[in-house]
Amino acid sequence: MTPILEIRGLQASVEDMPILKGVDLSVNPGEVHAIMGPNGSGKSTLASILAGREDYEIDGGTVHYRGDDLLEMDVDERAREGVFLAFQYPVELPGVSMMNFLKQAVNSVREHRGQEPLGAAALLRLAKEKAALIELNPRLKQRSVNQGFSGGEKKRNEIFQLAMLEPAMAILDETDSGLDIDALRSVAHGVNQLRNPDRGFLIITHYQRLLNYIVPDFVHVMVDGQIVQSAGKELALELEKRGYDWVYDHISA
Amino acid sequence: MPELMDHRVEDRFLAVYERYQSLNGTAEPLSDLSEKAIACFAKTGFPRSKNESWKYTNVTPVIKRTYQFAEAGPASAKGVDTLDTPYVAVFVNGRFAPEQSRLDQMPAGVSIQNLSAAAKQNLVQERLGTYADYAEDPFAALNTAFIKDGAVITANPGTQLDHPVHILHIITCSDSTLVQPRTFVYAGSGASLQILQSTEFAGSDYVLINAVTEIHVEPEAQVDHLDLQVGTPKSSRITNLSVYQEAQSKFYSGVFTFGGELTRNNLSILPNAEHCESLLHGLFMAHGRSHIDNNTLVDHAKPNCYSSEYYKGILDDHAIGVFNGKVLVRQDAQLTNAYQTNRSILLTETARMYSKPALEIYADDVKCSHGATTGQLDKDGLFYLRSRGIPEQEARRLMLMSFAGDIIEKTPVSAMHETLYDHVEHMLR
Repeated sequence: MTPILEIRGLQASVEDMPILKGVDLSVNPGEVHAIMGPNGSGKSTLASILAGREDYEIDGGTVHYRGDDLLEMDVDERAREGVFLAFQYPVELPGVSMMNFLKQAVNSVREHRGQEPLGAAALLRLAKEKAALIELNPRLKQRSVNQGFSGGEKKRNEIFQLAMLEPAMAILDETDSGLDIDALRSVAHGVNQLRNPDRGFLIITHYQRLLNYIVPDFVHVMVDGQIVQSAGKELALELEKRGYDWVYDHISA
Repeated sequence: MPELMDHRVEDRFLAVYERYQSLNGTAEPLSDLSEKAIACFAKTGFPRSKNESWKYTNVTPVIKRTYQFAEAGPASAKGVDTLDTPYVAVFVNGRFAPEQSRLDQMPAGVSIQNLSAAAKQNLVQERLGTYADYAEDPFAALNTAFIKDGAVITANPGTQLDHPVHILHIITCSDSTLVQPRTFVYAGSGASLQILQSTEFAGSDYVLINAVTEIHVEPEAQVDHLDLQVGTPKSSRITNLSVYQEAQSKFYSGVFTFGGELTRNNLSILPNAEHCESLLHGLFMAHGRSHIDNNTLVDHAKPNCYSSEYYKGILDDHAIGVFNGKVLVRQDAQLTNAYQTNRSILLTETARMYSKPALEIYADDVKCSHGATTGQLDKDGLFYLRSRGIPEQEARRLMLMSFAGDIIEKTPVSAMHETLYDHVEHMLR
């Protein structure tokens, strides 16, 4: 079986400062992986690099997406191929209406997959169905993208877009940050609905609490630009109990 | 040593005036005004870059060309493309073209006439030339000196016009030509009307348009004025839009400039009574070596007025944009609310924007703000759109359309929304 995502020895830096120092990770279809780690460990950098942000220098290693070289692809090409990043800080786009945005995005992806573009009515139907799944306030669809959305609404909107675009590889970058417990629950509920045997998830989080609701198959701990420990879901609980210091001790031991 | 070619460039215009007078003379009721204006022009001359308000706009190359003074010409054979409205006044090369116009359905109380016919009316006699300050503005002086045809629109008290009036200027000259359109609008108490002015170029050579529009808004009246200019690399345009507002009146100005060799839009608004509302919106887009300068003044003379100015620009290639916005709040104008914003996007390293919003406040109890930002297209926004599969070109287009759409959505002349979006779209291609 070809992994959806296969990262080998990935090294990256910003202005000559190394951030990732050799990351190895494979995600197979149907698997949910969580990456945990202290602030500054490189988790979000990894997410950004996978999505194609150009602020980083790749110094070594490879990333393959369904067998193809992901790092060779443009940002929008990756998305059309099925890589999705739920942003930690979703961007406000004043004047760009949600529906127009969704239409452009969904039809770009559909065209790439050889599907007919959706007309306005079909798109609206699809949006209604997916918004209900995520419990996204339907009024938000009338607004500009993320403009005036609360923190919770922005995060929900990310998962809503995930549902609309149906990617093969979904990366969630600290989707839980800034969410109250109700929002967290409903976002997690949405993600769980979107789990399926063909889709891989990479969930990046600082806290264990999200993983109470989205139960991962694997948990990795990233420290100082490397994955230092990988195990099943029980590792998250261990981390919660003992804190990241325990990992540091563990490594140095 | 400067070359011997000067003869100041002004002298050429003065010589043309002499010749013009001896051939045609100015129609009787306007001849005094014309004489005064040419005298002012002779005194002030064209602005030089030493002049602070012309610091970034050099008109010399444009005025140094030799221009024919426009004469009436046939309208373009393809017919005129007007706004979908029953009220259309067409001017070909600055001369009224009644056969192209549609004015037979004007409702009672509202009239559109050619200036040369309306010049005898008291209203026009008393007010024409009193708003556009030809003593200060040499271009307004030049326009006024050669005054002949033009659109005179009057609305009696209480009349509401159901569709916009479209004043369409068609330029057909084949030689390089100076065209000087003139418009006078008088909205009686409580009247409301919308006016669109636009220009179509059917000629092939250089054109300099020097337009003056004066608008008087009586108490509780409302006038929306939309100026649409789609230029060519050989068209330049200087405009003077001067507005006078009475108590509780409302005025909206939308200045939409797309391309053109050189454009200078002078807009001045005098809300001279309490509780006036003035909106000054503008959108300018330029590429190539286009130069677009918006110069505005709101002169708050009386208390309790509101003005809001919002100009946006997108500059590509080597284009240059200028925004000089001045809000003057005089000592009497307590409780003024005045806001001013200019935002511009530069699409290249070589495009330039000179933005100077300015507040001059002499009253102590006012709410005023101003701000200007010039930058590139928001990189994070672009990344976000692309990360959803939208190709880069399309993502840029989407962001620029919404940046410009902000100004379009705000225009009360809703009949123009689609056309304006089309022009933005065309500029982005």
